[in-house]
Amino acid sequence: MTREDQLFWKFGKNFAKGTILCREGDAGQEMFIIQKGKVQVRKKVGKGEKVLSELSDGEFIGEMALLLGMDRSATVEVLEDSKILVVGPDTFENLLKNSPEIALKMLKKMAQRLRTLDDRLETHLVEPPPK
Amino acid sequence: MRERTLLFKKFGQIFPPGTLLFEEGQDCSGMYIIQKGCVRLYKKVGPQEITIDILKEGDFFGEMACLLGQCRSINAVVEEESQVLVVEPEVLEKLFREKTGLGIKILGNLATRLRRAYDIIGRLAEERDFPPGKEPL
Repeated sequence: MTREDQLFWKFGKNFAKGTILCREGDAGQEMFIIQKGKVQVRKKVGKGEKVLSELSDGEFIGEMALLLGMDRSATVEVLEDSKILVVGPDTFENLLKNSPEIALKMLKKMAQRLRTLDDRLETHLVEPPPK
Repeated sequence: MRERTLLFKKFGQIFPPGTLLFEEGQDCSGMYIIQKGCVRLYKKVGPQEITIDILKEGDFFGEMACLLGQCRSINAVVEEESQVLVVEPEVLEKLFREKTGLGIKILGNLATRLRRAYDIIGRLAEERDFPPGKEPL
């Protein structure tokens, strides 16, 4: 059994195309890691919805809900039949112990996100928009 | 020997007040964990110094540049004599792999800071025209 199979056996689920993994505004405590497949992330804008990104193998989503208990900030739909790890607060530590690579990847991704936001804030502070 | 003392023996340094631990634009020298003392993080915006945080015993900082392999984006100055663990990037990666607890602690800390940044951006967007981001919150 490969490492991936072991992780899937412990935390994985098969999701059919069209499944909504989570809906914007809902409460939720799990994060999702795509082992194989593709999902689409959408956010409400006015009366419609805007596609923010499409994520595939190795990417994760929903970690803020898991770590901080925040409501879902976007809707995620499965675009093709996918193998996805579903990790709740009670299994999170276990997952990281089983796969430090996932922990490192999460750390790097979140650090990158934070720096991008910091840069945006800094730009805004230095050059406020014209009134 | 207590773990705290062992860690200090391995990674610890004592810094007098006024020591600049790192500056914006510098390469990453490691992550810092305060065992005792006080460190101020600040950013230079034009002629001004904006204090981002004042950290004390048990707090850590400097992990972002290590994780991203990028330059420092802020400055860190010692405010009072401090006992600090300095963990080099290579050691940090090893620690992440061996001590899951540290990774989880840092993840929680990053998530809290992300939420704070989202809150600020949300407020700014309400107060005045602030460009929307692409990342989901």
